[in-house]
Amino acid sequence: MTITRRKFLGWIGGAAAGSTALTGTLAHGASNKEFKGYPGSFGVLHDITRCIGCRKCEQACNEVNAMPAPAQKFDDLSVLEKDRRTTASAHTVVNRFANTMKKTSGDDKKTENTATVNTSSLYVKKQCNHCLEPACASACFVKAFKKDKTGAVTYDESLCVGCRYCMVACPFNIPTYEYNEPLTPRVMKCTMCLPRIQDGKLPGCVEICPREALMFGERTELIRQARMRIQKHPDQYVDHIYGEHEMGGTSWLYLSPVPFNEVGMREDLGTNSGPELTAGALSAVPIVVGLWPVLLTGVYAISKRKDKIAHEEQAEAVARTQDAADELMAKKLAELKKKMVKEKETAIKTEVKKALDEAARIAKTAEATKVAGTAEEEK
Amino acid sequence: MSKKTLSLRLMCLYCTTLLVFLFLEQTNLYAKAGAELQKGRSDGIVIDLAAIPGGEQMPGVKFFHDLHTEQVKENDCSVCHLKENGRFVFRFKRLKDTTTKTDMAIYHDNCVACHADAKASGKKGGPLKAQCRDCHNTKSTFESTWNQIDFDKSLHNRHEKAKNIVSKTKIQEAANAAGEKEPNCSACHHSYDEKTQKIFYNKGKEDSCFYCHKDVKVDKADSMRTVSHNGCVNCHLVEMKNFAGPINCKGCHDVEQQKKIEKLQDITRLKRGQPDMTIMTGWDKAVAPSNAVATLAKDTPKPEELDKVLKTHMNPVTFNHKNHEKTSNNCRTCHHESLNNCKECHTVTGSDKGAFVKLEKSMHDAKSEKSCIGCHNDNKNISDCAGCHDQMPAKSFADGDKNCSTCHIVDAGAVNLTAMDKSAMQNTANKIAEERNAVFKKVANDKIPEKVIIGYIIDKYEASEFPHAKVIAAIKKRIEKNSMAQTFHGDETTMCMGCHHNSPATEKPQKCTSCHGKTGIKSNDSDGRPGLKGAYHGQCITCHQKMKVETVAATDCNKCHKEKKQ
Repeated sequence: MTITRRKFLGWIGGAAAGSTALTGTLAHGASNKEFKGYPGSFGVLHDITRCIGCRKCEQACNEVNAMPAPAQKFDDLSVLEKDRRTTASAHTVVNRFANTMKKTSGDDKKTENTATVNTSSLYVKKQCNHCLEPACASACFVKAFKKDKTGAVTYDESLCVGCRYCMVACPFNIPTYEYNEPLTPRVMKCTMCLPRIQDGKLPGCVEICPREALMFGERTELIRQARMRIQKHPDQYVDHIYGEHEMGGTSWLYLSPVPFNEVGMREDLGTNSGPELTAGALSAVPIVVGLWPVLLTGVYAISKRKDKIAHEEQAEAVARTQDAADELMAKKLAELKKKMVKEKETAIKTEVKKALDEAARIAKTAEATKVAGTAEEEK
Repeated sequence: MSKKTLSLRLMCLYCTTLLVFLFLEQTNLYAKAGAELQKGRSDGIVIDLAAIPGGEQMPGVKFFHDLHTEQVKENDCSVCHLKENGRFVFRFKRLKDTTTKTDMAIYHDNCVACHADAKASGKKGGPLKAQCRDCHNTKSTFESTWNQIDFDKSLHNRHEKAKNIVSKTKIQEAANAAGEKEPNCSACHHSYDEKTQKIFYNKGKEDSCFYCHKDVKVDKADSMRTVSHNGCVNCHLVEMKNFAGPINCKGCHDVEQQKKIEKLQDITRLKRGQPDMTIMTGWDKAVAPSNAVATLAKDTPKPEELDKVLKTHMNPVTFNHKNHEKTSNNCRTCHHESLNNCKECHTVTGSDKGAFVKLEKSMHDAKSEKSCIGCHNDNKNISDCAGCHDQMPAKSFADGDKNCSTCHIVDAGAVNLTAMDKSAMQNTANKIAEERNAVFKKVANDKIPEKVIIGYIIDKYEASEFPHAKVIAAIKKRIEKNSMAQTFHGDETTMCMGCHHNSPATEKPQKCTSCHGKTGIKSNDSDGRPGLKGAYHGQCITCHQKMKVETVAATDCNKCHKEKKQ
């Protein structure tokens, strides 16, 4: 079956709606709840003071994950000259840093230098920190990343669409991409050796570390152990466990003799998890998507109704005016009629009077004539 | 616009910009010329007078002192400095600071006049009258190699031994008359008499200069800077007639120059009536039973009172003052505010004089460099010691470090400490310390395994051969160098506990596997102990790193674990 982009996006709509409904309790990303990791989940404590930079962990990782052999052998320590990052074929790398720990040692006192720089090197292992609330998982819209109950952040290549949002989202710059794989490229990162953990084995790097600079265990226990080390050797560590709170906490924890930014670790990340940072904006989405049509329809309906009422009112007013005008006209007409009738009557009366007067005058004249006639006759 | 006019205009613009830049960069050009001058100088002074209220002020003048003295013939300081009572006053052409205006005039007139003279005689000369900013600028920076000089034991001793430094006091004259040699302490050391407001030599009460002369002038006491220059340079220059120590800046203050200052190998002990060996008690001086000896007649504490004091305090400590003198550079290392007894300021319950640091704290504060425990802890960081000690958890004094009895060894009641005078106390202290050292048990060589075979990863590598006896010998050698280590390691089994930690001091300590095992998914112990692999590598690698034993790189597996033969 071929998947077209169009088809795929169509599914997402359905899948997203379905998954939010089904796995509501697991989706911590967009909630405001604080998630302190699954109880009993595992982690690894990396004690930088102990690491000797032998690269055995890199070798073990390579073997466990059946990766291609590197260009330079693992016992070639010259690669430490350069600052390296994880690659698609190396889930973990060890970097070397100058040890800037200032400690007045008894030797220095004898040579009368008040404080000298310890010139030995520090080695720091770099791999996925397996955040308690992973930003990569939060950024992934197909849920290819999941935080497992064991503490591992897992990747499901069958779900991945290759958008590489996870690589952008990761504050530690960890996920890598198989750019050289033309057909089935995958996002690559440390798995915390989840299959091994499930088999009751230690992660490859932890198992091989000769100096036990890596310690595997329950995260809460590791934090306790780390505190104990700081307390027992206060002058050998900075009083901070990196990863206890960084980015909302990570399953990998670090102890260092120097400030963490001096060994290439970011100190500007804050204590909020990645998802927490976007939760505010993302939590507004349902409201916007759900309520705006209702709101806008409402607004439309209201304005529509307003128009209708106005229209009706107008019609009514027109009608009312019409009636009044008619009435007035009728009134006026009636008055006019009355007046005309009156006028007619008056005219009639006048005419009648006139006629009567005429008649009277004629009669009078006739009488006079008669009189005269008679008189004449008499004559 | 035609092409010709356009190009003309552009050219004009270019020229003006160039001119403007040249003008702006003028000072930088000067600076480049004097780049040589800016390198590694220890003689930079900023001449800055007090601001005139309301007036605007030019920035201070960066003045290279040695640069100017090099121009002066035969170290003639009088070119710039006036004399008072036969000694130079290190102010420029004046004995005292007056008003800013007058002082400023002194600088301007004299500096410029001299620069002009130099130029007239064909020398390079300095900035002249109209070149204000050549002196008054904030731009020129120089790389400073200035360092405070440490007048350490060696230097002190060289001054003591110097034949030319003679006390000018009556004591010296009297001593000379009697044919004795009186030490020359009074040449420098003095105290201040509040009543007569004069300084006088207080024999047997010599203190460090720093106790009165602080960083800035306090009351009558000038700053350390003023008095050291007035004192040291004048003496080198006037009294010793250019015979003695440095008179220029870099002679004392240049880092490189300081390294060249001769260090005496054999340093005579300072004599100020301090004991060789003493017993430190925990009770306040006011109730001190030892005081009773001096005031025996007057108010002797009753025996039951004494008994009570002894019972309610820790056992006193023997303290080898002489040995501690050897390991510190000067008295101030421990005696920070005065050369008095610790208890005078650090009373049992604390007092304002001792900044409320109690006597107990003053001896045991792990964070202070001046306390016993603090300084001893610092010494554990020496590479010879750090191999074992760096891996031991830091203990605060209250953490139940149950070895009080290592130091608190004097049973005051038993030795009748309360009835002792100074010399008796010294003898007793010696005796007690010797007794303690006598119980030092050595481990017989045949009880120390020569080699230990470690083969827990035999599936991957050949078994390792740990040269157990060789390692012990190397550590022993380091302990023997250090008298403190010899004292505090009790007996030789203590040393075993460096690696066999948490095991009791015994000749047969536990193996590593007694406590450390293989690491699995749920094997972490809540006490934080590493697995067997971590324990071995941790112990070996950390020790090698801390003790600077670089025969094996930590990452070189095959150096310890031989490749497995197929």
